[in-house]
Amino acid sequence: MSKIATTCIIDDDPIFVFGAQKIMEMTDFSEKFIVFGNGQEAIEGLKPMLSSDQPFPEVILLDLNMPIMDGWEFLDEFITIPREKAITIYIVTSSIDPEDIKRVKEYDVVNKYILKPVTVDALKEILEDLKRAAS
Amino acid sequence: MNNYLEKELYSLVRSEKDIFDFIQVSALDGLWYWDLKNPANEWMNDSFWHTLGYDPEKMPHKAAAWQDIIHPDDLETAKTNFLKHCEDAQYPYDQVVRYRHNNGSTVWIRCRGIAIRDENGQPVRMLGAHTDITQQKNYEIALEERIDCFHHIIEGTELGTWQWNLTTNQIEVNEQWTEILGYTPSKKFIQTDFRTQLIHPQHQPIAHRLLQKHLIGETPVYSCELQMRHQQGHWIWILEKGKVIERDSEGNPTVMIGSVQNIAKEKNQKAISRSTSQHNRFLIEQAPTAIAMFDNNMCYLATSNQWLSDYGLEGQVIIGKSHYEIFPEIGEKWKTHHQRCLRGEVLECNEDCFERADGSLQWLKWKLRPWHTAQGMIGGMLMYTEDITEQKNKEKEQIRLKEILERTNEAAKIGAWELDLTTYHLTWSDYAKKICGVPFGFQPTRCDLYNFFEEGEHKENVKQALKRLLKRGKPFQVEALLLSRMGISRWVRMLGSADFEQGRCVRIFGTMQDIEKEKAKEMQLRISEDRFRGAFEHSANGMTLVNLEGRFFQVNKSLCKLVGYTEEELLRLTFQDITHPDDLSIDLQLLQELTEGVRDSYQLEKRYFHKSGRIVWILLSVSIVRSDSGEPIYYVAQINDITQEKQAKNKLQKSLSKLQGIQDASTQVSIIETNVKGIIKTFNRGAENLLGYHHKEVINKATPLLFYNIDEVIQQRNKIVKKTHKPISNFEALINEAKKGRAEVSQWSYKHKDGITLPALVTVTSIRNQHNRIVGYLFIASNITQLKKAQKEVQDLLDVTQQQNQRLLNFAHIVSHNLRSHSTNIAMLLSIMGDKEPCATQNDYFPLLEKAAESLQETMGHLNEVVAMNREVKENLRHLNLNQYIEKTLVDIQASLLEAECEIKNETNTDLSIQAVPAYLESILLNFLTNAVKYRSPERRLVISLQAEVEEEHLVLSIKDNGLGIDLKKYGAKLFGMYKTFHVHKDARGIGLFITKNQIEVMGGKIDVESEVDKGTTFKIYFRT
Repeated sequence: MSKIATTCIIDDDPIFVFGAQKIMEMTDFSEKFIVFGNGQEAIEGLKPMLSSDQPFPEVILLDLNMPIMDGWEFLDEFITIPREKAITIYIVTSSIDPEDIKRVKEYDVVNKYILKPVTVDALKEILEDLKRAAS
Repeated sequence: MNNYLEKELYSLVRSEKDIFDFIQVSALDGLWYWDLKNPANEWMNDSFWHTLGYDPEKMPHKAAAWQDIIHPDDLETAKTNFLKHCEDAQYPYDQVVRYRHNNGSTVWIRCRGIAIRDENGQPVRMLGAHTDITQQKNYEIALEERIDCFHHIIEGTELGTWQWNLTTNQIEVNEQWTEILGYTPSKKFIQTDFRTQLIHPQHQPIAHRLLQKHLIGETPVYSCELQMRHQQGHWIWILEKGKVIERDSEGNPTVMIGSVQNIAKEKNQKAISRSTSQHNRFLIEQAPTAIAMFDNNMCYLATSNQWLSDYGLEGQVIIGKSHYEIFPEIGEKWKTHHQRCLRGEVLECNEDCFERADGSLQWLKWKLRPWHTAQGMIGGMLMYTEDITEQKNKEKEQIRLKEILERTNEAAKIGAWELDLTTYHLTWSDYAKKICGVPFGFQPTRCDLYNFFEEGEHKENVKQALKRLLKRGKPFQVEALLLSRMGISRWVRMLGSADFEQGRCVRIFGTMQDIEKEKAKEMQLRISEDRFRGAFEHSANGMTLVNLEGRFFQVNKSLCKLVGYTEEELLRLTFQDITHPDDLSIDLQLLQELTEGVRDSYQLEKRYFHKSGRIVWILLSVSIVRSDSGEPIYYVAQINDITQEKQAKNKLQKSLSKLQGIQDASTQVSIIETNVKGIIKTFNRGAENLLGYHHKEVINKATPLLFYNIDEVIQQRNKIVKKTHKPISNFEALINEAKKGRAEVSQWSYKHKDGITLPALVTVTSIRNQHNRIVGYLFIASNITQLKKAQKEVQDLLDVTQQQNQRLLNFAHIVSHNLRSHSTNIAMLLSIMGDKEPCATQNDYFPLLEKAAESLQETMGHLNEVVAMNREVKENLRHLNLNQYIEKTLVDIQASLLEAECEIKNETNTDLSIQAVPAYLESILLNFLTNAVKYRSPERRLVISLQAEVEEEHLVLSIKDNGLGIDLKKYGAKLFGMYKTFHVHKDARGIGLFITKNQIEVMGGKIDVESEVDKGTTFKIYFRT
């Protein structure tokens, strides 16, 4: 696999979403994007996908600071949903708070903590990781 | 001697047997021969005058001579008898008359006479003889007095009954029985032993014998006259009768009933009848006088009938026989006497004891006198004897009775006294002397009757009683303290009665009884003597009993030790003697109040003088013992030596007063001193101000608990109890730490008298004497309301600051996070733009925009670093080896050091440890070292030296260079500010020192700088060790 089928971006910042999509296009990162404005929307959107046969996004980029339901709340909710496929969640945040970095390690489902701004190199690295995991 | 009457008499004696007999019988103590024709003329022999105490040579042979000294009453009797005898020869001329002895005393004479008649039966001469019976008379009088004495002592008679149960050995007695013996009349049971003990020791054998005889059936009734001890101690005559009324099957007596009768009166009557004058006179008439006349060979010439009867010679013809033949038992002593007499000596003896052949004792009064022939030669001797055995026996009986009385008195601790008011002669019995502590040979004078009693009240009481007795004959009974010669003070009961004759008191007499034991018993009743005495003697405290005058009459060893006197010395003193004069008046006042019943007891701290003169501080506790009637008897005092406490207290007081001087002035510090029990002893002005009480309201009246909030105290107490599992009182909760020798400082809510609660900082310490024994506690408290207020203000300020800090932190977070997300977006957009729209970047603005975005990113990074620092530091502090980190940093920057040709002198010790966050320490060292390299002087080779030294709780690392230096005057205040650079250098960013300073400070350190332009800079970095 050279290209990720679907990438899910959960972030309330439209600039970031725009930028991230542009960069992914540039790096040929993913075929499809699903974008949720906050955790709540994401749970509501992703839950039916898990229970049906619809293809589930292989990568989730999750922001921490969001209105309504933040990244942490999303994670706590998300891990309770039974699923069969392996999912990789990347925390993409501008928070350099060591507390946050430490806390992330408590979640097995989270693969990496990526500090904003997202760069081309960072996405390439993700692709490399996924390839390694697949092979 | 040339008297016609004498010659006539001599011839008469020789010729007339009757005359001779008369003389022999009667004329032991005087002979007279009277011419009735010439009544003025009368011849009297020498012994006539000797007996009356006159010199015969000087006395005329005139009837008038004796008529002057005979008692007038008796002269009348004699005259009457004389006349009757003259008329009728059968009428005896015989009477007892009194003569006045030359020394003034009375001589009792039995005067007998016979008339010598002429052939017509007319009396012409009168021959008379004298016998001195003074001694007998005196005995008679003495006996009568003694009887009198008994009469006074003994009470009336009553018949008591008793029933003796021999199986239980109990005797039931009726009311009279108890009354006779002086007990409260009541029907009761007594033990057989009790009755036996009452019987006079001398009567016990006879009483026992008679009783046994009856019990075994030998006598139909038991009857015994015996003496029993009256409850008051004297002996009373009892007729005890009894009869067995029941016997068991074996004939053993089981029940006996009987009576007792006080026969004192009967006994008296008998005694009186036996010895009244009449009776006695009769006895004396029969009292024999014997005379025998011997020749030079001791052969009998003549004897009186009395002699014959005296010596049992009636019917024998002894005239002409040798005396030694008649009395072969006569010893050598007598033979010697006889020889001496025959040589002309007159021998006599008033009392001589002979043991007769039959073993009996005979008492004789005898006189041996030679008789002379007409030629003046010794013709032989006259032997006068008088058997005085009976008299002697009577006398012995008298002595025996007296002895019995003495002995019984002694047993009863009774002494007798008697004052004869005609002679003012005071007689004391032996026991009376013993009571007074004088030897038995002591001859008391009449003043001694009261002199031995204690001065003051006691002596006065006795004197008054004696006075009343003498005046009105009122018998008395007085109990008073008698001080014996030996200095022993004891209670004595003195009784007195008087004898009156014709309205005049002639004799007073009575008893003295040692009632010390009785008094002690009185004490026992009051204060459970046994325990008291034990406590008294062995008490570690001084204890004493003091009489109402203040005299110690019982003291224990502790007291003696305390004041340094022996018991004997102390008993001679009063407490007034050894009390400090300044303390005496208050003591006496309290004692007065005690006596008057205003108070039951009192305590007083006062000073005694030790025998050595030094002062002993004592705590005196006094109570009073009263009689049933409420009369004060004596005081009981307990005396504790508090000299040490007092000294310690004085010492403390001194230092206290010093402190107080200062503290009272500020009136802010409360000082309360208590004793070990918590009773407040000192309450200073500060305490008065703080708590609102006057010191008089609380000293000796309250404990400091009065000021505490009870809930707080209980809380404290529970806390201690939880720890120690020992129950303690509330007060002990306050002094728990102080007791262990620690000063306890804690905060309490004190209650003002007005009810206001105020916060107080209280220090509790113990006060100890030199033996490290706790004698009290000191509560030092200050009002911390002001302090509290200030504290609160600080706290408020702190709260505000914290809030501000929190807001600041929040702000920093907002800045660091939110701002960061924007800056990252800008950076991201710019990078996409560069890749996607290269044409849009081909202008002058885009590179500038990129640079601005980059700077923003960088600033955000620094800002984040600072914000993150505060939170990270606490959990990441480690003990790090400074030297290791320095060496590591030097390796890291080795390249730039080499390039700068820098010389490094690391002089820090290898074992220095500091508290630091590893990353920060690295960053700090890197920063300073790179700075030194960056700002080195181009004119000289860079030398960096590192040194470390411990300064109090910090380790100070000095990093010294010889670089460009900083103008501190110009930049000092801004040196560590953000984005400050002081040198034009390609790498100067202006952020390094700011971050470094922050890092150092969050690790509890600080930074100093010394610098001189173009000389170099030294940074001193303080780390926590």
